Amino acid sequence: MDEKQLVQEVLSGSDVALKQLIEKYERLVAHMVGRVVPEHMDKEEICQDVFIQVYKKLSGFNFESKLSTWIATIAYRMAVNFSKKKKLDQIDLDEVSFKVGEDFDTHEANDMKLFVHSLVDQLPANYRSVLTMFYLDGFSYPEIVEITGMPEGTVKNYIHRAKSKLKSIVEKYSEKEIALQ
Amino acid sequence: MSGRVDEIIEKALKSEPKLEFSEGFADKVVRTIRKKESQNQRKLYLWMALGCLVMFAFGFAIMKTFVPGYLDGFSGDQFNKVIPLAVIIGLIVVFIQYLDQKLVKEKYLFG
Repeated sequence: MDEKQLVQEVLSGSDVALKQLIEKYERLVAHMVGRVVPEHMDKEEICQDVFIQVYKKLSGFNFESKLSTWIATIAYRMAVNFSKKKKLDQIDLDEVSFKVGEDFDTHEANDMKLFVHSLVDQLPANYRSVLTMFYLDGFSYPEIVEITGMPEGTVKNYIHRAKSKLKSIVEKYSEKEIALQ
Repeated sequence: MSGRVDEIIEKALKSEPKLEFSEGFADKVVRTIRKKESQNQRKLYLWMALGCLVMFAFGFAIMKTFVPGYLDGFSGDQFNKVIPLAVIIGLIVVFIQYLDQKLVKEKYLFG
């Protein structure tokens, strides 16, 4: 079933199509919300609210952009509004000093992945979101601009700066591991 | 070294972080949406009924004020004829609302 058919089925009142739409985009919504809202908050509740909003606005979706971009925009903006309402962290990247756990064996590929994820979690929300949209969800720069409302230069700058910051600490730990060998 | 680190970071960034959705999340959301929908539907009907009542009362008050003798001439039998007519008008309004919603959705979908 293509996007148009799926939307048409959902609007005609099909529960099966609605469930299919949720299952297809729950990962994307979880990424958007998960990168803005901290671990201890009820992300599932927010994701549910995102889908309720998507359903409410679906009749107004005009297929000018991809459905995934449109849903990501709703999810991102709802998560940002939630974080503003709760007055969550608005720190700058330069203020971030990474806390690194001792229980990672950076020789292990899986541990290295978890190690990098733990560092990403400590980045400011804007940087986390943009990195996730670009690398994990595969959105292009213009799509990220549409979702976040940031200028393209800012998006590119965020990706570049966040990667440099991650690189500096991963490099440091990799060197430490080599020295210990 | 630098190239390897870049590769490690990009590989990690492209890998899925831990997601914590409870089992049957999609079903739960569908149920919540349907529940909210029926609640909204009920609210809409209530408001419409209230709107009809207000309109009747308003119309009645206008008639009483500006043409006081007109309603006095109505017999009980004539009132019984007016009420079904009012119900039919109400149903037509609801039907137009329904058609409007359907047509607007179609327009958005197929341009």
